[in-house]
Amino acid sequence: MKIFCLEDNPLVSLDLEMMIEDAGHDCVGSAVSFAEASAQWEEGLDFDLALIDIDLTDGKTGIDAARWLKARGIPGCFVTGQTELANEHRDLVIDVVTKPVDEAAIKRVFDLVE
Amino acid sequence: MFSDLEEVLIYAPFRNDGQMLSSLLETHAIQASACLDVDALSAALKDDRLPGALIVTQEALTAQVIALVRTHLSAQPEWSELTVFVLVEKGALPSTMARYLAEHWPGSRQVFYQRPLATIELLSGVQSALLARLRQREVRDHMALERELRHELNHRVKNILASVTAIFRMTARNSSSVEELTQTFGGRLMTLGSVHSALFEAGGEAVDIRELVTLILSPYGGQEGARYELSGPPLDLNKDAATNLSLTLHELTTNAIKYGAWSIESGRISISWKVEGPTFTLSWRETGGPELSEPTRRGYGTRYIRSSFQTLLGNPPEIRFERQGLALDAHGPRNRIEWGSHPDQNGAEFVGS
Repeated sequence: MKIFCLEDNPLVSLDLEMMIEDAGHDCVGSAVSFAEASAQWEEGLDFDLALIDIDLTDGKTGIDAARWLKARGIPGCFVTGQTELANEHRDLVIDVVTKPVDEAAIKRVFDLVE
Repeated sequence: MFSDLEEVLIYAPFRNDGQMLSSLLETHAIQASACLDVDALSAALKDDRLPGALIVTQEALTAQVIALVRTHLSAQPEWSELTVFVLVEKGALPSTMARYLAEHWPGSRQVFYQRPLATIELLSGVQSALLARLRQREVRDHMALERELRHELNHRVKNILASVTAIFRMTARNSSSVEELTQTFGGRLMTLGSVHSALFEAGGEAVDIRELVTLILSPYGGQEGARYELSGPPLDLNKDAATNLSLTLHELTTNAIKYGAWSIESGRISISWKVEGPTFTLSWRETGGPELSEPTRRGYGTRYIRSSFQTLLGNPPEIRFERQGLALDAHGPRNRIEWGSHPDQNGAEFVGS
């Protein structure tokens, strides 16, 4: 399964990548802002799931990213410390994983999509 | 949201009292508004409006008016207290009324003036009340700021915990013993601590690049000049770039100690950086070390370095294992790393200060 990471913390981003690999999947791209991500997405990057942090370098645009993806039928999952905001927009994603990330929780999300 | 009013409300509906009081205050540069009837008073005391003070005449205090004021007072925010001036009739003994009002008007203080009015008394009383209002608003603003800071602090702490969790997990994946885990994790955690201190010393938001590089290298390499050389202009890094770069340089340094230039006494590291227009370039050169072989295990080491430069500068770095030692070149837009030109100051706060 191909997974995209939208995360501006480079440590968390790499950790997510490694968890994706450990689960036998591929991290096909990453970005630190919605602007950077949508540029890649509009070029036609293909993936099955996006892990989305709400706070990105261009603001709380993780919400906008989730909305963008939902409109195109691509599942997203919030991976965030912003639990209130994530729950407010729960309808935009298939699940919410809080930070610090529990590896088992992320694996459950992968299973949801497969 | 409560609107700040500097205006004194007057409810003195008999004779021409309202008008006279209003003119008196206006003459002394105090904004005033006289309510001609109960409806006007009711409108003036609508939930989001907080008058600077209220003046009422004793004869105007019907049960309805008292209740109206009480309703307004109950709806006040916790930091607000209204001063109500009650103008009592000549010869009247206000003690019963005073007790009654004190009971029925929580969130206010009542000041009684006997008629005929000494204007100087009223004026100084009103001025004190307005000053008290100013102080109340200051308290309100401080409380709001404190709430904001607490929120922000919570956010930053969560981010630090997320970062530390990630570091720990990645370190654990690539450690073959508890001793190795302890040492590697310890070194990385200390780096986080050092950069936090450096940022804090420098005001919390930025640190100069040379200071940062020295901070990371000096525990292992001593003073500049002996085992390492730095060259490049002053450049203030924003806190996220500083944190990212410090961990990355730490990785490069520990790799150099384990396999590269600093695994032998004579090895040297040279770090140089340039800023040309909008572009920042950084180079890391190791010389005098042992012959290198590309690490076969994609451990945290170089993988982290590649990944973090990608996040830092938007491009992956170029890493070459030359005969003399490891050579790394990275470049990207300076506004991603420079303090003051960060695309969004409210963005990445993965460690924070």
